[in-house]
Amino acid sequence: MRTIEIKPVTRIEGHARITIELDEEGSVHDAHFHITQFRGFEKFCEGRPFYEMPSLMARICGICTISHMLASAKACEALMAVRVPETAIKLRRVANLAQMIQSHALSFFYLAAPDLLLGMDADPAQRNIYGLMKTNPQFVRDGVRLRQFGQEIIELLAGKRLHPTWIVPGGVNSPLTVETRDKILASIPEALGIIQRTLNWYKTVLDNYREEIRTFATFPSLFMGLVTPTGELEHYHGRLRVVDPTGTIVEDQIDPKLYPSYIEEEVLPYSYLKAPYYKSRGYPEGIYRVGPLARLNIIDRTGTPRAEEEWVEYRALRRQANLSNFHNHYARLIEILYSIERIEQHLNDPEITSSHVRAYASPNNNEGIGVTEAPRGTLIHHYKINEDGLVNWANLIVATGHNNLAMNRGVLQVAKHFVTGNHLQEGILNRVEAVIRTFDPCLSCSTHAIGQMPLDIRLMDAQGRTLDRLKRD
Amino acid sequence: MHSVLVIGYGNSLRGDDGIGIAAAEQLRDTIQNSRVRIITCQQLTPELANEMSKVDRVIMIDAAKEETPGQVTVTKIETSNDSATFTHELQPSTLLACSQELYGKNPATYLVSVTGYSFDFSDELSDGVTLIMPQVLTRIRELIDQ
Repeated sequence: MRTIEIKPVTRIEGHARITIELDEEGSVHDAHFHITQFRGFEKFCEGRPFYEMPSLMARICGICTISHMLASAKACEALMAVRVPETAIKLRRVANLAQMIQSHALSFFYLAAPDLLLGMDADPAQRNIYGLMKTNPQFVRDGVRLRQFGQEIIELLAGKRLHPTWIVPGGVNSPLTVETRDKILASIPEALGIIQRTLNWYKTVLDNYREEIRTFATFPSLFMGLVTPTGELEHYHGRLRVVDPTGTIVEDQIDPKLYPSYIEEEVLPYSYLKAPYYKSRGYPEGIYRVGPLARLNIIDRTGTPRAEEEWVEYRALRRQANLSNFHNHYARLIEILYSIERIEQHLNDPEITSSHVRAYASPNNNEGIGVTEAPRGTLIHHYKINEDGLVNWANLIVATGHNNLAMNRGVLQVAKHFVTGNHLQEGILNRVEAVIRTFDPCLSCSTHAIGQMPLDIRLMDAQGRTLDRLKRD
Repeated sequence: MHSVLVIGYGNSLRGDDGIGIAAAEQLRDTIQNSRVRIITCQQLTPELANEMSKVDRVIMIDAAKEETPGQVTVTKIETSNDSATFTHELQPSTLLACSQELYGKNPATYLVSVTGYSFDFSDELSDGVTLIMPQVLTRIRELIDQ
């Protein structure tokens, strides 16, 4: 048996290792996507007051800060049994959509585009965002501007773009001023122009990637995400829907707090990342995917006019569910368009500048679940507290976790297609990595799980002293 | 007067690595100058090139591990064509090159680096770095007014 290692995987958020196992004949036998970092958020939030959770959980990720804060705040609000003011919900939606834009722009323009524009076999030293600046400067300027647009909205709403403390259990801690609203609204036409231009270009080059579309994690699986009661795209509230590869709805309007009845988590021996699966289909047949591709597969319509036109065209690529993970790139562009349109709608709501943005309550339940759609997919925060309001148990299921089984299957598929024998070239290896990048995995978020590997967690105070230590050999 | 962008960056949960953010925030609290824009962030990312292209002078503040703890160094940054595989590892010189490449602007750029004493898990600066903070702020103000 010969083993090929790709280490580290580049242009993903975090660090990972992929192992491809060859048999005696040099054919691909198996492949694994290893998550080798461990962070332990579920463990070290134990003993902390529940109201600290949104700020603490925001530290899981520097990209999806808002998503973690929202899911966490929603879980806290379930503990409090508090009714969040409508304006606060709308402001949170705007922040979440702004994050969707900046994260999707990062994924598409900075991380995936070098492969798309410079070619999978281009010199790795040039195949990056800096290489693109020389060959496609306007494209990069567009990506920079879109990402900036999302970041600026978050900064204007929340005071700062990274780890803001604006989202709190019960609402948000400051309302939106008319001046700030108008400032954001003024930048919307430019953002709409950029994304429409990018979509128009992408559709003209899509045919160049037929092989990748056919081989990049293209296999039957279930798809899951939140939808509105009428089956529209939903990123904040909503209920869970599961569809099968034919696009047929398997489960619909599942109350997200009932997720433990539908999702089970398997611990994999080679990774710190747990592998959730759809319970009624068992492991591993219950493999499902979340994220942009899944969201556009599960809906009946988007809910905004321009995104709807694009989605109809996108769905025409395949009558049933789109099975190729390569189409996550396309789906991200449509979701950016949708997000800009939705932000404009929310900001034009007269109630958006209301000053009633926070409700107050003490804990009234000892268990709370919060679910949102993060850029990479469904995000679940689940807490239990004691009578003093201290967290004594937490479970997080993040998008990269939901997609774990699918990522492994995707790596195996692309390895079988592109890797044969001893002749490995950068282009081939990069395709194995590129399939992982279509999932846009965020390993920082996902490696909070306790696996079966040796690990060592230390609890330290502000002076760097060790307060507690959990170690397993 | 010329326009200035101050970028304080680092990890505020790793002790003295947060010096850039702390210095920028203290500057924000004390400076009254509409021509000075202050940004804090964890790391340098390409979109900062756009912000840089809009000003005459850029001052970056970061922690350093080299040299003697407590040492404050000011370096004039020149553009570099080094490409970076990871967006997480963008250097000041590469960012300046991005500003030049994308927007045709090459503002005078300085890096104020402060060698830290401790980079352990902590959301506070070490006593040593706290002690030299006034000196750091003075150097930044001099660069702003230069």
